[in-house]
Amino acid sequence: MLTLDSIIQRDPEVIAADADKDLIMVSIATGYYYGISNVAREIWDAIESPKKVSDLIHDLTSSYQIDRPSCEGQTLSFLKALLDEGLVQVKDGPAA
Amino acid sequence: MLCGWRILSEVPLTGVPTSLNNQGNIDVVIDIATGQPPVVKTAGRFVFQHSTECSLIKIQDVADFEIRDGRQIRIWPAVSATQKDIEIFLLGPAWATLCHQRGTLPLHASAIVTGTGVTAFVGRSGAGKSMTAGLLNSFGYELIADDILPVSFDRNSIPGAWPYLRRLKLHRDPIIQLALTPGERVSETLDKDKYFVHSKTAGDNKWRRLERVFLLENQQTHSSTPIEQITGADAVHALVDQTYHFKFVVDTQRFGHHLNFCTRLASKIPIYRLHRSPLTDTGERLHFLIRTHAAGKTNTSAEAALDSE
Repeated sequence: MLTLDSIIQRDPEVIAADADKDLIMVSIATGYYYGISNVAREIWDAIESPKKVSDLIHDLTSSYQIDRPSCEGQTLSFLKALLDEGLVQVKDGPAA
Repeated sequence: MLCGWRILSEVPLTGVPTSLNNQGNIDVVIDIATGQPPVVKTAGRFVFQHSTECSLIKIQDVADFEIRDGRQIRIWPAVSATQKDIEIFLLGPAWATLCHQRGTLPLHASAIVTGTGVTAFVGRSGAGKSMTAGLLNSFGYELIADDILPVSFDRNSIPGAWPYLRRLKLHRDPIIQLALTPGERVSETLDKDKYFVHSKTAGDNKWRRLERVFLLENQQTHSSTPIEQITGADAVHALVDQTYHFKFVVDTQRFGHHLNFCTRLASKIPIYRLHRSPLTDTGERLHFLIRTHAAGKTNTSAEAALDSE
């Protein structure tokens, strides 16, 4: 289960390439392709190294005009989508 | 010269322009090797073994090919092999491997010249790449490739392509349908049902800007939008999918580099999905759609104009 205390990191089987402002990602494991941009891309760039979710949200609320609860909800939702697609891993976190 | 590279070949290359001008360095050497070919690790009728050092292609009863450093192709012909059969694999997977080694993308495509640039057609086997190029060639468009289109970036990061082999490989029925003149059979043993059809128009052997790619997809029912642009991850995926001899990319673990190339290419040129249906298969309609797209007119205006005919 993904929480604010979870440490999130990229799945090593994902390869990415720049397309101007977009980022194209390919999961080697599934063969699926993804495209992300804007804030989603910024989040992906931020988790180049394993990062605690709460730290990520702190950085985002500092950069954008958004209240913390909204940022938490949207960021967790996005990270969960990445997790469901096998694009990220939870390195360490509380048990489900 | 082929793909812009000066070639010195012991093997006659049918359909490749030759030059008596021996000035300049040789880029690629093709020679007939003696002795035993390198040993491959696996067995089978077709063996492709790629590494960062060199590539080995073994085609039973045809030849063994060693492709090294993007500069040398050595061939050990089988005793009973014909020149035609050796050429099929030399100018197919062996040449594609050479392209990969040299950082050029061998796109599995046919291509014509529209205006001052290149329009390429990609798609799965049977999608109609050769037939589409043949159709447009019959309308006067210069044919520059069928099967492999070597794509590269110039020093200004503009994508483009050299002509490859200006001939089509078609079955007899489409040749008759397009009122083309068949040449010789592609092979008496390997590809007996296809014939070479040479381009109706000649052209300069020069690098041209790649302006657009059409991904051909067959559909049985008429679509109201026969041409639609695909972007982002879909566009990149299409280019990766249509890479000739993708096995090289996998075996040499260059997928990251390859993804970068295709992503860069997809960001610079439009890629369209062209739905081929019984209606668009009409030569005049297909010609009209491609021509109006090449002229920069929108799909909507092209469709409206066509429907009013």
